[in-house]
Amino acid sequence: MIDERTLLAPWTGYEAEPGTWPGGKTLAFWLAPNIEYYEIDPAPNLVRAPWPRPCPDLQNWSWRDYGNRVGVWRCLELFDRHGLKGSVSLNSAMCRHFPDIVQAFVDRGWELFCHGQYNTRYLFGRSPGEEREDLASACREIENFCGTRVRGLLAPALTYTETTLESAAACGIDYVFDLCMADAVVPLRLPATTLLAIPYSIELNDFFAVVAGGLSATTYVDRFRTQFDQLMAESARQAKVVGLPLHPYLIGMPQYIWALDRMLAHVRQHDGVWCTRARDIADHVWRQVLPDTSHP
Amino acid sequence: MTAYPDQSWFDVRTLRPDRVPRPAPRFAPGCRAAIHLAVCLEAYPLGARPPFPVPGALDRPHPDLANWSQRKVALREGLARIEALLEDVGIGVSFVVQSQALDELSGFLPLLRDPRHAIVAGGAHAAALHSTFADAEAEMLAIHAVLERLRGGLGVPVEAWRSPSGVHSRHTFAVLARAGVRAVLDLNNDELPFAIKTEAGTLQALPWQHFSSDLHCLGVCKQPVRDFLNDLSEGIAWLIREAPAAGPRVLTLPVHPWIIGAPHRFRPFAQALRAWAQTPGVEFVNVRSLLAAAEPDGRPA
Repeated sequence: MIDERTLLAPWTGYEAEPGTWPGGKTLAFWLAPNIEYYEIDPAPNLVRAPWPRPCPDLQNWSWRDYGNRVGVWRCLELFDRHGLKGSVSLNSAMCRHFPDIVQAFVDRGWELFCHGQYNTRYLFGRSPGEEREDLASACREIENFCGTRVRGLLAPALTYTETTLESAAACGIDYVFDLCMADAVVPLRLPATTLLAIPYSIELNDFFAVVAGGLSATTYVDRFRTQFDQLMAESARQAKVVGLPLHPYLIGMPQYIWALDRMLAHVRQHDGVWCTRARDIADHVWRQVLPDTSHP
Repeated sequence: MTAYPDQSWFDVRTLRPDRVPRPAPRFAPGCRAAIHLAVCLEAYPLGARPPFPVPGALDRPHPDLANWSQRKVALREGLARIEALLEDVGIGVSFVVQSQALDELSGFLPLLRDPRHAIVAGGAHAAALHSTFADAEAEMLAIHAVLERLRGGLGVPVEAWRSPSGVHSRHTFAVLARAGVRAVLDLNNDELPFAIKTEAGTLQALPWQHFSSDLHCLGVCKQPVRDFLNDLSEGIAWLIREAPAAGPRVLTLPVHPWIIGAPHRFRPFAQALRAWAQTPGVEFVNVRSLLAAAEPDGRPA
């Protein structure tokens, strides 16, 4: 269960946190494309309807399908051009339905972390046992595909229960992306262990910025550059993290892809930036900052 | 691989640049980006409310005269501005016409019958959602009524179908195939035409993109119009740069004259459209030319 009093230690100032990342870099940047599979007619969930319209909600479903048919390839070409690799937020069912896409990321050295099984199968309403089995099954499917242990979790469609963090730890997860309180890595104190909360930069998420927030691509680029520059300046006092959560069904559209190009070019202009994967951020923190802390 | 209903519809599920297992559409020589401008001419009956929210629907207490009359701009001055612009720029477009709107379009019949343009059936009216039909037979009767009204009223072929407000029943595609419809603009999932299978035959899915439309970007997301147009201009430039490796793609731009035809939006839109039309490599297409490019021998690719 979540203990709000102990999960997060009070903030004690910039100086209490690590000073730099490897190589003397001060700002870590990581890409987080959400590679998702949406079922057209999923089993109902009592808490949240998967689609806003009656089945078949082709308008919304087919847009998600665009990400896997078209957008992801456009994004990959752009990531390659900028020489960047990051961490894939992966619905494990993608390994069955679109293995070419998952393999393309594996071939390029990207990390795969768990984003549940399907983006239409939520954790809301699951019992602790069901939730643990859902997450374990998703991690197994990804590990069987890529041969590497899964260590990170972003809950599917940002859905949770009171036990999600403990279930994640029980599955061997040692870092999560679901908490939005900081631009630096924060330890999460669970009763039996510790997890890391790695910044996912929710307000830079293309879906939250463009769809929920109504930004044009033009203003989305401006938001990204402004946030990046502010954190670059603050990173002189405390090592900071910028995550860039993306959805190829949105950012892969012609009218938005150019914005991503401008953002990545902005990142590449700065010498003090460590372009990395979430796994490498976690490794650095566990080894250099919290070497004596027990974790999964 | 587990078979899910959606996966049984498609033979082709990727536009991976190095592995496109489908015949490439035959666009005009030199085409690097095909812009499909789809002008949506909709009817919003004052007393008709959709059973769930859809973009553009009347959403204030009855009688919602303000919204109802604003939607009428699409069938009056908004369309007149677009007509003049199309004449000036000299491009062909698709008109997505709802059968109940036809009653108010008598002044625009020469425009709709102009052979440069193509007609898409848009259903009966914006709140006539296909999720509400009791069964496939009721849906078939409604589809037939729409097609007959449009064919009779316009006297030109109806070349494709777009479901009202992008809403469907579980039977819509099969019923459309049974009704003899050749192509649909109901899926937002591709930038090239592709065939979809139904129990009653094959349909050609022509690219649609609600999430590029003025209805979504300006009406729902409230983007500034100049940002919206700048984003599209950047997107077109991107497609042009991409085309030598990926081939020409279709950028579908659905517009609603009650939105884009408002004077303060229309002026920058007209400037942008003129600029796009003068851009080397840009070709304007409509459903007829798209079908000809996708089905050079008259059969689904």
